[in-house]
Amino acid sequence: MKSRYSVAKNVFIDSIDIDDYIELESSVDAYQKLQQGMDKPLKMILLFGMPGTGKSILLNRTQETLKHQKEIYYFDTPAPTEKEFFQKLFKIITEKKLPQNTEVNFSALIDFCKKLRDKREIIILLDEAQMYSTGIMEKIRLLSDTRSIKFVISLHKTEDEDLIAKDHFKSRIWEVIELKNVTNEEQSIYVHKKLLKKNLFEIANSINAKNMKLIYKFTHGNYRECNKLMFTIFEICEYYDKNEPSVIQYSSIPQKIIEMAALKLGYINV
Amino acid sequence: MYDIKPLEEQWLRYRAKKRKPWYIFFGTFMGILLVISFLFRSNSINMNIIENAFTRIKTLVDANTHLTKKYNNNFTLLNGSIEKLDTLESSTSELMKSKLNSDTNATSGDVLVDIPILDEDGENIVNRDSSVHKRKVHLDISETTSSSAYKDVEKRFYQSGDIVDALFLAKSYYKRGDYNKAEQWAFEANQIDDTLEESFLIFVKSKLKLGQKNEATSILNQYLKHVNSKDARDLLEKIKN
Repeated sequence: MKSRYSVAKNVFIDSIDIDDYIELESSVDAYQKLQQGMDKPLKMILLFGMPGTGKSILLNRTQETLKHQKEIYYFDTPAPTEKEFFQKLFKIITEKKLPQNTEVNFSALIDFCKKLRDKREIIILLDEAQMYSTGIMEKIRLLSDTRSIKFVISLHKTEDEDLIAKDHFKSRIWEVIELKNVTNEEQSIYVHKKLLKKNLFEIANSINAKNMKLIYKFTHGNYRECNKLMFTIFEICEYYDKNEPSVIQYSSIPQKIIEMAALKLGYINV
Repeated sequence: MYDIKPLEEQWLRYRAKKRKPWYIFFGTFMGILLVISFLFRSNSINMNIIENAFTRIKTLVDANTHLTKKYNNNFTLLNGSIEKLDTLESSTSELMKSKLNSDTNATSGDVLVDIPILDEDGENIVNRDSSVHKRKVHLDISETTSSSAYKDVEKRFYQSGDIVDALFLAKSYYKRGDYNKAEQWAFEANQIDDTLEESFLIFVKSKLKLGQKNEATSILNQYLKHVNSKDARDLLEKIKN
C-alpha cells in the first residue's frame, strides 16, 4: 500500500512549474513590481536575490501570464555558447530561423532592432544571467539600447553579480526588484498551501506551528531549502510509516524526524 | 530510501550534543546548590554548637566560682525566721562587709557575696548541722540593685535552667520585698530540685509575707511529715506563736 507521505514528498520536488507556484504576499508584490516595470519605457529590469528566493518561478509565471498580451520570451537556462544564444535571439527578433552553419551578424541585428523601435516591443526574460559571459552581457546592453528589446535580467545576489550589475547595466537599469527569503509565517502558508493544493489536508494539519518554527530555523525562509527539507522529512516519514508505524504521530510531525532530515541535508551536524 | 538506522544513530548523537550544555548547566546549578546548602547547614550547626558550648562554659564557670568561694571563705548560709531576717538585715550587711574584708582570697574588684537572707543572726553563722537532712546551694553572684542585672540572671536561667540562678533570684527578690517574685523563683528552684530546703523555706516565707498563713502552715506540715528538718520545724513554731 502506498504511504500517504509518498504523495506529500512529491509535492516538494523543486521545480519552476507554474502549477507549483504559490501566491504569497511577498511574491504578489514582486510580480506587480515586475509587471509595472515592464510597462514603463525601461531598457532593463534587474531581478535579484539569493538562490531559492523564487526568481525563476516568478519569471516563468510572468511569461505564462503575459504571453498572450506581450511579446515575451523566457530564457530559462543560458545557451552553452554565444553563437547559440544569438541564434536563439535572432529567431525571436527576426521571426526567422538562421540557416545552418551561419553566424549572426551582430551589427546587422542591431540595425534590425533599431528599425523595430515603436513597432514591436520584445521582452526577454533572462534567468541565471550570471552565467552569461561578459561578451554576451555587453551585446545584451547594446541590444537594449535600441529600445526595441527590453531585458529582465535575473541574477543571484552575490558580490560578483553586483559587480556585473554595476559595471554593465548601471546606467541602463531603471528598475531593481529584490527577492528575499520569506518570513516564518509566509513559509508556513507556503507549506500548507502546497499540501492543500494536492488535497493533503491531514498532512497539512499535522504540521503545527512548532514544526514550522523548527523548519524555518533550518531553512531561513528559503523556498528551495524548504522544499528540500520537506521532501526529506516526508521521505523519512514514509519509511517509518511502512516499517515502524509506531514512530509516526499522525497528529504532528515528530521533532526527531525534522532533525533527522536536517542532519541528512547537513543543516546541523553531530 | 535512506539507510535510516545510521541516521537514527546520528540523531541520537546530535540530541546528546544538543542537551550537553543543559546537562552541564543543570549539573553546575545543582552543584552550587549543594555547596550552598552544605555551607549553610554546617554554619548553623557550628553556631548551635558554639552557643551550647558557651552556655555550658558559662554555667560551669559560675558553679566553679561559687564552689571556690564557698570553701575559701568558709562561709555558709543560715536559715532563719522571717522576723529575724527583717530585723537583722542591717547587721547582716555589716557582717557581710566584715567577712569580705577578711577575705584574703579576693582577687578582683568585684564584691562577691553570699546573700544571708535566711540567717537568724550574726552570731549564728556556724557550720551546718550534718545530721539535718537538707541541701543548700551557695551562690556567688554579684550583689546589685540594678533591675537589668536581675533580668540578665533570669535570661541566663531560661537558657541554662541552672538552679543556682533560680535560688539567687528567689533570695534576692525576697530580700527586696518582692514576695510574689520570690515565691515564683523559689517554686522554679524547687521544680528543678524538690529536696532543696532553702528554696522551699523561701517559698513558705513568701506565702506568709503575702498573707497566706494557713497555706504556709499546711505546706510546712506536709513537708515535716516527710522530712525531719529543724529549720522547717522552727519556722512552723514561729508561725504558730
